[in-house]
Amino acid sequence: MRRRFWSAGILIAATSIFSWLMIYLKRNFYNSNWISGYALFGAILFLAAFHWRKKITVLPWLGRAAAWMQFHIYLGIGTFVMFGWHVNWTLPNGVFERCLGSAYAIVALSGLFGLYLTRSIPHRLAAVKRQFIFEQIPVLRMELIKRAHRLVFGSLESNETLARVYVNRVAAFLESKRSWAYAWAPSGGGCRRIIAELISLDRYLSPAQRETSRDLMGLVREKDDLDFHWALQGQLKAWQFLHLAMTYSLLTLMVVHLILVHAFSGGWR
Amino acid sequence: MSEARIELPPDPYQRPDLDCDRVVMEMPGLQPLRQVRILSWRKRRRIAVLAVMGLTIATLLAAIHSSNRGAFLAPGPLTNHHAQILAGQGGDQCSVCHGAGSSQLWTWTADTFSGGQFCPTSQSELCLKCHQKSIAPAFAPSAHTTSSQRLAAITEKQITRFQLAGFHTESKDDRKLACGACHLEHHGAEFNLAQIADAQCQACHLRQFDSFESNHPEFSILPGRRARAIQFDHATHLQKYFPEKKKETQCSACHIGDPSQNVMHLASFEQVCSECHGPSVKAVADPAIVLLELPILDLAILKKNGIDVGEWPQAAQGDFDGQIQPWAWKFLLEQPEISAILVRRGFDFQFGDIDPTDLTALKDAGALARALKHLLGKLANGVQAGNDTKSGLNATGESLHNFLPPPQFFQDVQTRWFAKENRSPTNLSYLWDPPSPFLSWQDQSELLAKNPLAGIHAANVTDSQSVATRPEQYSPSENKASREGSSWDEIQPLPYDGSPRVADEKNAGKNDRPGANPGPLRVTQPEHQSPSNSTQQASGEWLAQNPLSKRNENRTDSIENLEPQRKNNAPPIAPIVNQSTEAPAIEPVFSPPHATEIIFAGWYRDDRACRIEYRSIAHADPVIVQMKSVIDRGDLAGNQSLTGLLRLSLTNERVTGNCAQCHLALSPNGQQLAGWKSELRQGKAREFTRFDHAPHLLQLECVHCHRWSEPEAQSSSRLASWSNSKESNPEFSGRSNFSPLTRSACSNCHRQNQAPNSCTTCHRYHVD
Repeated sequence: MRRRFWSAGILIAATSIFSWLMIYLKRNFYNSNWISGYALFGAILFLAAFHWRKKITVLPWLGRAAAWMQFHIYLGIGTFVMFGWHVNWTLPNGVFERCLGSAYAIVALSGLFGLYLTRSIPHRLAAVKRQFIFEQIPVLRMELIKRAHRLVFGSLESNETLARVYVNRVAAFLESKRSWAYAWAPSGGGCRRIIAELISLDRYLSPAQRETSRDLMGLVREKDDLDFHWALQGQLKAWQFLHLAMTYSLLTLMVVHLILVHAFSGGWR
Repeated sequence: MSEARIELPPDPYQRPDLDCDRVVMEMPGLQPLRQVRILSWRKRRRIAVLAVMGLTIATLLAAIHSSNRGAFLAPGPLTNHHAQILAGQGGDQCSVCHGAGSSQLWTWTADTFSGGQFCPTSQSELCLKCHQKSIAPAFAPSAHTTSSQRLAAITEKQITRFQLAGFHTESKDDRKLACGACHLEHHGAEFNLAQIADAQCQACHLRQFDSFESNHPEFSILPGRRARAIQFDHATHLQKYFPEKKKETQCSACHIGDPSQNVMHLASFEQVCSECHGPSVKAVADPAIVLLELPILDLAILKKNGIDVGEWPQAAQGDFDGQIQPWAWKFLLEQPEISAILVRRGFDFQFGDIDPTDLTALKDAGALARALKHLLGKLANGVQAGNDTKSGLNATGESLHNFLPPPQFFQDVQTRWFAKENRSPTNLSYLWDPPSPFLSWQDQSELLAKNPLAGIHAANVTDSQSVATRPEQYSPSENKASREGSSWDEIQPLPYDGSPRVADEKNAGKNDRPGANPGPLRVTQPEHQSPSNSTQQASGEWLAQNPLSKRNENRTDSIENLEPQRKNNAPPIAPIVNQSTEAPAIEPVFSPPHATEIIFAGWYRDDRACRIEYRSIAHADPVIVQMKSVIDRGDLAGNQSLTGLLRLSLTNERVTGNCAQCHLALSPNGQQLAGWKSELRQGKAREFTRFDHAPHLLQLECVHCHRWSEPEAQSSSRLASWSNSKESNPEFSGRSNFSPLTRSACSNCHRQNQAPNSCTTCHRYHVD
């Protein structure tokens, strides 16, 4: 908390100084856009360097990735102010400049969204009993289906009712891939419906068969947990997709913008 | 693609005897399980990044190399003004304002990393290709598009005089501002290119204030304390003269708006003043401006001391007397020997103060006399600027040429005054009848032909009794007063009464000088006009009676009263007068005032006083204007004493007193000869400030801002009583009748959320 307080204080002070500098430059007929533009360009380059820092793990003097992360967050917020002064707090008018502004907006907003996700999702994942690695989830899901098959089909001769319900209802749930809606906002509704159906089947089952049904319910819950992890961890992966891809696109547009500005700005040379 | 190698938890439902796959295959509704293939997310992300970057670069390259790249790369639409101009440029619009407009991507890239070597033409230079008519390219990048020296001078003036905003000049005078520093293009069709924040104005100005209505400096100079060229009593005219003459009393009758300059111009003299003041201005016959006058020399004493000045007019012989006139000093000043004399004697050197035993003074007198003769010779040969350093005409000849009479005039003077030295078989002008008035802008031959006084003299010759014959009546004891008495007040022609002209014996005996040249006309005065014994007194009486004297309040009436007398006494010879005047082509010499004023206009040679002088002929007399221009231009080599003397020669109440009635700067109290025109706001004085009367007058009366000053406002009763009298306004002191304009008169409306109150509402940045 104390670290966050100091970081926020430094961020506010830095943006205030930058704003005062911009006001001073504008009042004194200096081309403040050059200053804010190059400041923004440098800041975004530094923010992008965080990605390269994560790839380079053999240079300890680069600092801890966690520290980079903190700096990345606060500097990223600071670029909002830089960008605002650079475009004079108005929306760009030209086609190319709109593309550039949109790229910045996507990167910045995806960064903010990623910040939200990285701060909220771990708590939600921790609430699940078991933790899964995102890349293992498909395999685990397949294995879980096999286990369900064995459980149900192993008692097929004595428990045809359960097998019939499994084949018609439960297997579809276990084998299904969740929708984009679930990936965006995962919920336990599907799991609860299946379990409710299995519970309603209890009156037709013997105690031994009920035990098998309980085991099947456990597998259904486990499938739901897997799906939950898949959805949330997928969100963490997906925003990085957008953030990183658009960052490089933004860098490309920025370089072109820099060339154009130098070529077209004129001035008394 | 790779298969995941995952360590799975133990399966409690494992049954070796159960082939699930077979069961699944046999169970309707179940799908066989497929192999799980996992693609690395890092690889996926790399592919995505490369794909997006590639798409971006491809799109950019396609757009930049397309025919419509301008529309893609432009940071926004142009303003209407520029867009309309560039509409005909087709796809090459960018290159009109940008040096890089016609280049390609590689050129732009090279330009970026080479410091602008590939696109050397700056954008501002391209701006000036079109705007150089309104903005001087040399000072375009400077603050206010003017030189730093001028800004510094304005700063000093503003701070010391008006207490308005000055400029920081220490650090920012050398800064260059690109056009784009203020004029931001590509912000849309309706964007105001000239908009500039008040804070930006105040960045350079010393005086800082929050807003116009709160603490903008007061208008300390408008309009009452501002230097005025024309003295005009609004109260007198609006409340007395105009009603009497049934003239329009609206302000717009005299003050005419000019949409191009945003100022109210004063209607011309001919438009609004001449109807009442024209006759009095034309009738000026005051003592003239003396260009040159020969001093009286005692040739006997000079010769006795071995000083030879050559021929000297008899009219200028006698006891030492007289002085060098200021305009003559101006011509003589650059002669080295004269400068030395000037150092010893000063401009106020009087020949009458010469001690006959002082050889140095006698030599100085002789040198001055010779210099005057030399000067006359040079003028007679025609002054050419830069070719005569001895007479001092090199530096100022060009200016003086504008008002000097033609060389023939001086040739005639030489022939008259120095007959022996200048008599030649080809020059017979000395045989002609003197004196001859010359209009400086007329051809000499024409002037000689039109010499109106030639006829007078001819008449005098034929009527010998009417002429005072000088040589015989000249008394060597002629004193200084007698010379002063021989002014043009005295020698101007009088209304001819048809009776034989008999010189006043008393005056003739005192004033006439010995000399072969017949002097100016002297006629018998009527009883009530006869000069007194004292020449000065005679002159004064002449002034009192002179119908052309401007000091005579009833001058016009006097002239009108003389009309019948003149008509009844037409002269025997009618000279031709100036065809350009309203007067008839052929006029009797003494009959109408037109003829009289033409006769007395221009240059005159007074053979009796050995003097060349000039008197004005009409309103805005060009010669006097030129003389004043010479003084104002400072062509006097920094000689402040001479400048003062020359200025005094123009501001002398007796010389240009009539001018000074209205032209305030010409009055004796005027600090300098500022200008003739009323439009002081034209040009430099108003360039930083603008005010458009037109939109204000749509809603407001003039008096809303221009309020009567306190004396007029508080003395309405006195004004009422005074307006019924025939006297001038006793309250008028020559200053403006209006109170100084206050900021509150403007800020009542021009305040936030009511009317524009930014700096650029009234002040302009670009000055010439």
